[in-house]
Amino acid sequence: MQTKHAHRRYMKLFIPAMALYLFSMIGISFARKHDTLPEPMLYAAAIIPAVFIIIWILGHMRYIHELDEFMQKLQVKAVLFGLAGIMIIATIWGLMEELAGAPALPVFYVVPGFYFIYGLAYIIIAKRAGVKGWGAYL
Amino acid sequence: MKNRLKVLRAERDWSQAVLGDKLDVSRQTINAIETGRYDPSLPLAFKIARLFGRTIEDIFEDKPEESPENISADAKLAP
Repeated sequence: MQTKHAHRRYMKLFIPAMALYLFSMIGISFARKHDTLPEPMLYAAAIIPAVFIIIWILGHMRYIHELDEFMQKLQVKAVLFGLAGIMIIATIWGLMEELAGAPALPVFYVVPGFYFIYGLAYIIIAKRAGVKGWGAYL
Repeated sequence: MKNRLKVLRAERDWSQAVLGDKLDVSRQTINAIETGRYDPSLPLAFKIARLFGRTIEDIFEDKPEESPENISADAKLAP
């Protein structure tokens, strides 16, 4: 499949998944604030936003799978940088928490942290590979 | 790896995007192959060769890096 088609398919999944994630987060935060849900139900409801994040991650995996070999190589490299980066940060911060009493960070930050590092890595990798402008993403 | 993809494409007056469409790859991939930044996989190299009606060796040149060691080894092998 061509890169632009793969990108279109990815965006078709990414935009609704993120919109539903946002709505579910707002809804559950509202429910928690106003005590509209009992605690066991709140636990179950807290998982709902994660479902949309999982859909997004699976969509990203499909996107990489659908790219041609060169674009796939760039994506895989960026994913490796993202994984390595977030593991290094998690290890360093985890040790600081355990050994130096640093404040605990929510585990939830792992996904945005990964995507931030992955995004930066992809921009650099694409630039170094001669893939410039919006053509790198479309 | 050196290749003649740009020349062959120019002979047919195809843009990188057109060639990419024919090979079902992105324009960026064609550009990376032409500039030598990326060596295609064997299946893609075969696909390119079939499209241009050539052999892989006609299009891609697997020339080892020119280094003093290689040059002296070549000289020793020469009759």
